[in-house]
Amino acid sequence: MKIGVLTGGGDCPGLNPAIRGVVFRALDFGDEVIGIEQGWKGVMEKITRPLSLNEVDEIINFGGTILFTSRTNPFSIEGGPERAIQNLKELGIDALVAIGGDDTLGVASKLFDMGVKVVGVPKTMDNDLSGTDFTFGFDTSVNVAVDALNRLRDTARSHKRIIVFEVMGREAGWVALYTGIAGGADWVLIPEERPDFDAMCKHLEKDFERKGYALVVVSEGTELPIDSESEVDQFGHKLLQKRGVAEYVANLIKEKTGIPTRSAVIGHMQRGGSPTVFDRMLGTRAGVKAVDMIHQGDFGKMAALKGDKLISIPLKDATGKPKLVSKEWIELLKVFLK
Amino acid sequence: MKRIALLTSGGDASGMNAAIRSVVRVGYVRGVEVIGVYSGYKGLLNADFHPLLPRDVSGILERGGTILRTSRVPEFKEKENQLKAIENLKAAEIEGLIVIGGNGSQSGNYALSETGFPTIGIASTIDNDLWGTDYTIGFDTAVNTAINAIDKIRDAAVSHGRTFIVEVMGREAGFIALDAGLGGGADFILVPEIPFNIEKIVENMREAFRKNKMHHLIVCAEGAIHGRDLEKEIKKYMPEADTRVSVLGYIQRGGPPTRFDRILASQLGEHAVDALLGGEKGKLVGIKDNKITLIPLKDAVTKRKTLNEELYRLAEEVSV
Repeated sequence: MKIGVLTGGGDCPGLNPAIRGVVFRALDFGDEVIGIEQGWKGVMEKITRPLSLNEVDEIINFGGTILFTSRTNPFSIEGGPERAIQNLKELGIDALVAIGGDDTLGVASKLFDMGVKVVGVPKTMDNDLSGTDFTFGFDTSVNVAVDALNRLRDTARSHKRIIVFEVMGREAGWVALYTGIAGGADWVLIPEERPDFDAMCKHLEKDFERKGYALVVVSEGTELPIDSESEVDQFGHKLLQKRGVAEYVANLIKEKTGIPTRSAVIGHMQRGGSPTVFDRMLGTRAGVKAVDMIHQGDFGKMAALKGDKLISIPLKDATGKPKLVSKEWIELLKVFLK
Repeated sequence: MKRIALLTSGGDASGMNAAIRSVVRVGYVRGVEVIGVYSGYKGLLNADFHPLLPRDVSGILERGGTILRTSRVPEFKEKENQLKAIENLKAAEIEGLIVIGGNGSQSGNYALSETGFPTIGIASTIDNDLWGTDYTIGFDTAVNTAINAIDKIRDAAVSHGRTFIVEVMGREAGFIALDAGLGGGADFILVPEIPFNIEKIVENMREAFRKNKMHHLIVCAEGAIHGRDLEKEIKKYMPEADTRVSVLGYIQRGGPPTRFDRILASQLGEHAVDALLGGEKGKLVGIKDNKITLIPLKDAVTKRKTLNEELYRLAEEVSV
């Protein structure tokens, strides 16, 4: 059997272990693995290279993806899906492993409806994919963010300042929540809750009086009063980078409380780096599971982590509706805002 | 000398705590009482003095920031405030002062020393811009943090085939940018000291695209050009360029000091105490050619430390 594998959307740590898992498991069945480069763009333009054991053997600790990625969406191109299907046929690919977040898996799901034998491997740093407990990339990125927050604490304490720290998280606040709790923040703003800036400032004034500094973690997707239409990408997402959430919140705190406040943005360094053990294990297991699913004819599904087991769930269940931070989590967070 | 004071001033740097620990403990061993001055020069004006004993500085070696806290006090430039500070020191029977800090802080220290009061400086700033020293406390940690971030950013740059602009600290000096750029494998390094040509950068990028190298890393010091402005400039010539900007900002400042900064800070702390006790004044303790040396404060703050141009050339050569 000839298995194609691609990675789409934003890169994240764990993609390479997943690719490696696919290749290693495929060898057990005597399959041939074709790497499709740059996500769906590679399908549209037939950019491929064979993946052998040698090529993936040592990538377990690499961040990013050796297959490269793109945000190309075949369904926003005229005749795109048909061309994608035709190209896969011409490449002789019997089954496809699509590794990506809800956009990439959304495309996979639609192609499955059109007859393509495809299985999904979920990835997202934001951890906002329904149907899975965790996706790889999240653990590494939160560890990077917690490390950064603890560095910022040194500066905030030394200068007697408030520092507002912006982390990734477009629709879901998991990264901010975990960073805030595990890094010891004094206030956390997430997209799931409309910010109560008055309550926040009051609380920060109290913290500042008690210990001479305070730390705020804010999700890039947090709702701001200034929001208006802005640039969008091929999947219709707002390009959040130019919004300056941290700067906005820092200025607001400065104005309301008069306390010197600075902002910092973690940005793209949060995406990369060597994956943590958790993400290596999850990526590896998901890659193996995907090949097993192919051999069981379990198409149109993705390998999802539920508890400590990898199970297959329909792609449709996973895409579309993001997994948001629940009330219980917000209650837990509030325990640590004192 | 029976009693000396110690303060940290200006921007915090990782390793300041290691220096505090060294001064306090070496002072104790030498039989000198060490008084901590809180919040930098502000604490001198308010006589915010607290004795520090060896156990007060336990567990701070590995911590970033400064337990003595710091401040920036523009009014300390005024003569009457400097005299008031000396008065406060004398009233507390303090006979010498050690100032841990960078350029601005050591300028204040120099002003104090001009009144005749014995003061010694410890070179500590992430900017590494003190003349007469090769490395200042905090620089190594900051650069390592920056390199670490660049390594992570490269994953995204390569995966997406993008151009990443990483802005690092350095308003007037490009030391962080140069070391982080060379150590992080940047394709271009922009520093305030050396003029750069956007057209040349864009031309080099085009050439690389032709050779199928799709990603680029540009490290710029904030004082050379801001990342966002650089992005705009590049887009003027190459509207098609897929660019992203990452401003490292305050993350560079903090965090546990590297082994280099811990050891340097411990050495400088010891030498500062011994310099004061040996009757030195108006000097900065720093490392030069791998030796701990005393540099006149006046030279350290008035002469301009130049960038290592050989290193800059090397960075250009290896990014071919």
